[in-house]
Amino acid sequence: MSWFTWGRRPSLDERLDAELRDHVERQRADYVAHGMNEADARRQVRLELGGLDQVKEACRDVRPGRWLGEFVRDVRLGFRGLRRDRLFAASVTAILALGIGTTSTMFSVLNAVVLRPLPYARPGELARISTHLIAQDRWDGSAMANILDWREQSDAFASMTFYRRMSASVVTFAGIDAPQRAQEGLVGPEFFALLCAPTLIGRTFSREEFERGERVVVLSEGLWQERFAGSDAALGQTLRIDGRDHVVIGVMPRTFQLPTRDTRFWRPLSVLPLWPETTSVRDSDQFEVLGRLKAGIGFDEARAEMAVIAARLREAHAVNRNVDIRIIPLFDDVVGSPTRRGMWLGFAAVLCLLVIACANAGGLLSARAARRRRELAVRSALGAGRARLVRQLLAEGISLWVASSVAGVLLAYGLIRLLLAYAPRALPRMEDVGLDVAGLAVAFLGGLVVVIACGTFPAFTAAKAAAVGSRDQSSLPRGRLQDLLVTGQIAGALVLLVGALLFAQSFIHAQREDPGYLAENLLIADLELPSDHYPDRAAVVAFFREARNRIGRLPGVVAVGGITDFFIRRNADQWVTIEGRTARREDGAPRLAIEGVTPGYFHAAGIELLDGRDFDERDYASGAPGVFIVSETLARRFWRGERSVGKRLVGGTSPPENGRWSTVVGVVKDMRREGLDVAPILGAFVPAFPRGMDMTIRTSMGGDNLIPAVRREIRAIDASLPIPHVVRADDHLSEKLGGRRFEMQALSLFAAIALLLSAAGLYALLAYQVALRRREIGIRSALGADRQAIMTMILGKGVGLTTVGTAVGVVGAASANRVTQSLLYETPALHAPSYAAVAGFVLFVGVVAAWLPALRATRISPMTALRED
Amino acid sequence: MTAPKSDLPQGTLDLLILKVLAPGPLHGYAVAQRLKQISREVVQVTQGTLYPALHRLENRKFLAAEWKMSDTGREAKFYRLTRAGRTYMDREHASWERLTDAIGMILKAAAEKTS
Repeated sequence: MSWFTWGRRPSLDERLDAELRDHVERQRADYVAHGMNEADARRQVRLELGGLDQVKEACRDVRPGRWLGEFVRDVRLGFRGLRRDRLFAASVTAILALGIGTTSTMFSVLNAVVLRPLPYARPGELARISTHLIAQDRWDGSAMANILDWREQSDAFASMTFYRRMSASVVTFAGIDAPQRAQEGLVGPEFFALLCAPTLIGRTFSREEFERGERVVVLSEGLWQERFAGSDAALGQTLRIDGRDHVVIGVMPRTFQLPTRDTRFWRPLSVLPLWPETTSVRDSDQFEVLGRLKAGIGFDEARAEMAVIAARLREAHAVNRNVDIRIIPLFDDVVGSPTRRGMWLGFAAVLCLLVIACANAGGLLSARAARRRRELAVRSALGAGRARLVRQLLAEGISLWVASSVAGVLLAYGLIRLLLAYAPRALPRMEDVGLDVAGLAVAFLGGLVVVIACGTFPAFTAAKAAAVGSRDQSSLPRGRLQDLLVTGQIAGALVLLVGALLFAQSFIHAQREDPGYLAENLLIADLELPSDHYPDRAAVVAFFREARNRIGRLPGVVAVGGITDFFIRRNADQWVTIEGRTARREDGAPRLAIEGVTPGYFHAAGIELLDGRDFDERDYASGAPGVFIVSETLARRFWRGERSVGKRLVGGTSPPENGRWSTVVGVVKDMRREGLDVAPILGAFVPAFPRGMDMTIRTSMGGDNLIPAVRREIRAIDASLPIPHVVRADDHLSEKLGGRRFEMQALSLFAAIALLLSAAGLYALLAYQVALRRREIGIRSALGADRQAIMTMILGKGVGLTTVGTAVGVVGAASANRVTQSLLYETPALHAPSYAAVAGFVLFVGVVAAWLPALRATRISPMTALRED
Repeated sequence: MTAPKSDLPQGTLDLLILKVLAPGPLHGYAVAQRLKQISREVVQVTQGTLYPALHRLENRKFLAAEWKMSDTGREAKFYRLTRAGRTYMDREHASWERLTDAIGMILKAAAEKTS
């Protein structure tokens, strides 16, 4: 009696039993009354009855709700059947769980990063508007006077707001026990209103407060927790920013991540002393613009309208001659297209793995179904209908589904934790990743599809075969489905292997790039000397000398220097004019990053001087003639074929009025400071003692242990300075390649799993077929086929399947080359040697996987094989 | 599954059972006996078909069942025709007659032609 029916109708089966026993009893009594003796009567009754259990079963069959109880029973039966075949159940569960787990993990990531809209009201209307420099074909920040005109003249946007370029918005504020540096948002009056983002507590600033330039600040949730322990009492308190007290008026939730993820607080742009003048400037790149389209207006309409406005402004103002307007959805700005492509590619890789896992599990399921033909035939002979058999096999599949879904979800949960801990920082919105409902749905549905796809078909064929009769094993279908599954696995594995190899090469190419400086044993410490403590050059020089002496005395420190911005975190582009050339700014005058460097910088950073000389003491003397050291690429670009040392240029867009040009005194190697895979920028250096400076500290080894000492020494000179961030240059570079490393590692892992699975799949298929064909092979060898022929037969089958799979895989991998190419660094996506190497390797693995079953086939002795049946 | 020895047309067993029960409640064994008597042993219904049919009719509410003391001193399950069962029986009976009439006519017509 099944627990299910028992639970609902306690006495149904007992009643049935009683009713039938009553019938039997009456019949017997009748026969006895008609003169039969007791024993004969019993026999006769039993004969007429046929089988009590069958009668009962037939009665149960007509009960309503019968199918549900039966389904539960089937599932339990399925579980029991699987428990008997533990290895099989464990393999299928593990393989499916792997596929389901990785897929739902990747889907959760894809969903959080790429699919989910931005967490603002009607996010589809939000646009990022920027200046397009026509001559350079470059995006840039915009000038406030232009922005105000855009806002005034445009009709497509419901509102427009602006904020200061992020590269210029790092500010010192009073930390808990020492000043800190942080990214802030200096924003226009409609910033929060435009995004329709509610505060967590408090409010944002009003237009009136903005106009008056009031010192108010909106905190990020993170800073609020840190500074005010998440208390409502924070409202009305003050926070000292850039030497002035600001009143806290509100807190934005964690999900609010504009202008950047790292923004710690927001202030009205009007707190800047220079704000009033800014509004009439047309040639600056200080500001970024956000807009919200009016309902029903598309991006193309807005672009058309803004193009007209841009043309009008080009007419009206000479400085705008080079300016066009670019409008893109804010989403595309937050989630860049490399990220999106990378995510989709990753998802494709995982789907590939899922397909392989399914094919593998499907192979196992159908092999098992075939192995059980006999059992099924027996059950069929005992009266189980075909539908009943299919149902039972399906129930078994569903048990596997339940088990592997649960295991897959656990795996996904673990993988997501791992991912959150190790994913590269550069990925946007990663902090939102969690195993969400969509991810779970994908896991469960994926599993169900697998079970239905892999479970039903074998169930049908098996049930059909069972109905035909089991003993006839020679008439088995040759398993075309299984062949297909194995071929598919090999194709998928090949695609993943090619991808992994290409990404590995791309990573190695990027990593091998020469940074242009010695990144090992180099510490970078950022300093910002506030102007109220260090009012003039002399004070800055004095501080630098003191710092250099103190740090230079630390054991293990070899040399100390300084540069404005070592990693080019800020935008340092400036216009320059080259002697003898007349390019005007609006026509695209050269722009380059000019940075101030202290004495000893090139030496400390380990930068090779290619021509000319380093700066010396004379160059740093006040009133000294201007000098430049330029980078290799810049020298080549500006003075092609000529020696650049001795050439003259000046900062700004016109020749110097007093005729004081600056002279190029040296050429240094190009430096990759933004990342090894980012082309070096046009760089030029001038002698200076920058107020905001990255100190470069050359150490004799490592340097991790020196970091606290460096911080201590700087704070010992001036305790009011913010605690400097000190990083190792090599760590920084390595972190910058984190995305590529991560892609490579993930793909390699997937590829390894895929290869292992498909090799196992091929092996299992051939081994199984050899087992099935024992008799045939026995007969063949009895008829005189030699070992060689049998070996060739099995091996040929394996090699054939592998070759087809390889060919399909090569075509598949090659057809994705356009997408792949955009993600590779200095590596052709159709790199023939890589394809050849992978194809060769897969074929080799295929031969190895086919070898063992082939060897086993040759060992089949004709006599034993024939005797078995 | 054991099949009935006579070829009872599909659905006719239900009608026969309902007819047998029309005069008054009976238990399963009695239904079997009565079927045998009425048909003069032509129709023999085994338990494997009878009881599922009884249960099915009960589930469809054409029969109601009740456990009552019987002549043997044990409790037995008595089936009784319900109102719905009676309606159903009449309808089935009518349609059966129409069907047999039609078949009879066709057979007769065919026989006349061939002769």
